[in-house]
Amino acid sequence: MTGIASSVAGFRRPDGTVGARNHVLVLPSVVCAGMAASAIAGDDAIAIVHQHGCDHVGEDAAQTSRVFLGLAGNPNVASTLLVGLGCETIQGRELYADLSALAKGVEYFEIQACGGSAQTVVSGRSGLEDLVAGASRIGRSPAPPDAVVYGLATGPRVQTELLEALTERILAGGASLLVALRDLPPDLGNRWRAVPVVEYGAAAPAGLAVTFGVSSLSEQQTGLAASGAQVVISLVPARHAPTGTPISPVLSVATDRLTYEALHDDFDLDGSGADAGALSERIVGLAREVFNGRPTAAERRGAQEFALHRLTRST
Amino acid sequence: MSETVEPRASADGVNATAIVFDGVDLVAVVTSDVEAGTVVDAAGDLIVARESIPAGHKIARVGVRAGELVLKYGQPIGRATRDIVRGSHVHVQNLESARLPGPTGWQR
Amino acid sequence: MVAAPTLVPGYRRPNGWGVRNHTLILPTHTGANLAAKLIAAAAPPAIAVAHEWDGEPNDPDAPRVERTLAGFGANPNVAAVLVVGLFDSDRRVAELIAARSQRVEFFALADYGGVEATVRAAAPISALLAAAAATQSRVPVPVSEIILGLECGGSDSWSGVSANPALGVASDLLVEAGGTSILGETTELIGAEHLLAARAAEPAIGERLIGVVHAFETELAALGVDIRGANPAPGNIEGGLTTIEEKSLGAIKKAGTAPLVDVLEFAQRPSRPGLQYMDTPGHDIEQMVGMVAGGCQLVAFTTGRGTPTGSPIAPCLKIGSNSAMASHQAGDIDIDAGSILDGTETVTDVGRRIFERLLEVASGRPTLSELRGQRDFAISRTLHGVG
Repeated sequence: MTGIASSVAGFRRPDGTVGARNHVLVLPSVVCAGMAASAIAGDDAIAIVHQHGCDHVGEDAAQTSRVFLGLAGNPNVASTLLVGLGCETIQGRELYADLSALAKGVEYFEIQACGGSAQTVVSGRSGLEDLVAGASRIGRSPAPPDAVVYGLATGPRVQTELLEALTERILAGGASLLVALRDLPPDLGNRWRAVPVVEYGAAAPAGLAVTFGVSSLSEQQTGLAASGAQVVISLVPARHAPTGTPISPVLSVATDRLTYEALHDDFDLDGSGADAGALSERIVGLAREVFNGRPTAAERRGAQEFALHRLTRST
Repeated sequence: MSETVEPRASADGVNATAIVFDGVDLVAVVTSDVEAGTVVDAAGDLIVARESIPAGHKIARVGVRAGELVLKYGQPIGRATRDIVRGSHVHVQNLESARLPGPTGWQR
Repeated sequence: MVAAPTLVPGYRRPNGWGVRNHTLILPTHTGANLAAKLIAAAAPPAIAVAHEWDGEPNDPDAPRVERTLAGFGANPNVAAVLVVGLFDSDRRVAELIAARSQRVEFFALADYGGVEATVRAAAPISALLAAAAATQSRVPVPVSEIILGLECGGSDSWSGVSANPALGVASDLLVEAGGTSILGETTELIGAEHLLAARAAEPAIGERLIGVVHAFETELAALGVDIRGANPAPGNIEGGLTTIEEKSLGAIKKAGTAPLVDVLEFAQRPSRPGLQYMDTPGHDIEQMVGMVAGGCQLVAFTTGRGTPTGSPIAPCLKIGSNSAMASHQAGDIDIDAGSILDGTETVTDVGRRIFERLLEVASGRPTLSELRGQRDFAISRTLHGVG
């Protein structure tokens, strides 16, 4: 296994983490601020347009806040411009206070305070300039392999042989791995029962960890990005389409022949029918290149899908 | 226990006002920010505000006992969580929903 | 007194009358959002929406979501819709739309090998649809064909005093002219439902309304959810609203005095004219999408704290409860009902003004949210199937 334990090259953040990308993120704290966020970002930053933050209750609201904070905290993000409305459940002001503790650049604009969406966009564009200028001054520098956290998305079902082979190779290379599974497959090795479990969107620890309870591939990918994965490897099940995330490159591996043939342009690798060992070697090698800057198929077509896992309906 | 708040004469001699929606209401809605001591004209009834009350918020027209239903628009808007003195700010600190959390049963 | 006009210029469709003439690109799943966006960008003036529905076909929410997508695509404000799915089985949504006599085309990513090839194939078709739409002209439409969505968001204590009662006057004027108004937001009926049920045209309708609220409260209790913090929301509380009952008693004023003629499921189309109630969440965008999916060509949206939101395909008229906010956020607020608070206009004055403006908007005058390109979209789920 040559080259697995090599260093990578990424963007160093004030907290010592290293990004595979260098995004400026424009994040609305609530659905109603989405259009303003999109207008502020333009072509200069990545805006997430979502449908959350309004009429959120309990644990569900806490989870959404955690995901937003996690996305802004991901090492791929240089700085964040937060847009709030002023009356929403997931309060922009509170999120801003949490983001300010990240020691990365952060700006906050509130639509009601600014006097409406047009004014918010004008002020936001001006604030964005500083963030973008700051990010452009950061370049890649070498980092050890343990600076890398891979996320692995598996959707509603996973081939356990491939999962085991991939896990072994990633960990042998010195990186950390957070695996998103709908639930624990019964035929997985016993070591998995002792693996730390992380809540959706919560920070991934060093080494191997798992997160359960989500069966949607896109929602898993979003959660892994929020957990701090700089690169997401997606084992796309049959009858699922490859998607990306706004801030972390997604390496899409087809696991079903027919699905690969149907959507071949949008995959990075055809893993259908491949030997688990050989495939995982290819995946790990490609994932390292992706960390170092090689665009994924999703990045080339501009796929930045955001899908948030919800615990409770809007009320 | 209930200290007296001295009414404060307004600078231009005009009282602050509050809207009374229905005669049975226990609260009125002040139309401007009000300080402790401000005299509030609630449909002819002059109430001395016991504390500052922001515009749009409620002032107690009468004393309300803890547990009592508070009426606005002629309908219950919740229960007092503590005794409320006439002229007080009525809001989350002394008023809670009588309906949520949990259903309290419904009647046709 | 001048009689209200009975005709407005609108677009005749096989399935109704529209006040706008959109070409819509509609993704069936999150994975089709990008293709929809790129198709619309390649073929202006088509409009794309995006959402986060990634569910499997056997998801308990799938019928609700499909009804929403189909209703949205079939809304008469849309001249034609191009549905983008992942696989051929997603054609089902397009078939639902076609069954409503709407002009629809369908493209699946899986038929073209991926997003970019699909966009290359679909963009020319989108352009043809938009060109065909452009040949259609407005003709006189009876005002009775108008279905108006009644909504409030970012409410404050004044919403129930000025903007909502004024909207209620406008709603009554529309219903008197034979039109339809739809009230929603079941959370904001809690504490006021008996007042609306008392206006039911038949007792059975009133019972259904009470049942909808009871079912919702029961669901919240079963979830162990404390709704406080979400409703009233922090902005409502800053604005003086303390409890959900208080908020509801102010919210219900949007429905004026007309009798309640029906109770609708989420995104269900009305089958008769008049004032009716649709079971929607309080979430501003989920609700707006549900009402438009149910056939609303117009939305009237009152707000106390201010919000810029709008619909991609239906003009959303913003009515501010107080002049301070309406002038501070003048770029987003169409009508200032704050004149009621300082006594310079009565509720009836402003209500008539709203009704006249709605007719102008129906005739083609853009709302501020349309001018600003506010195209908010969200898919409403109940998550009953989520463990």
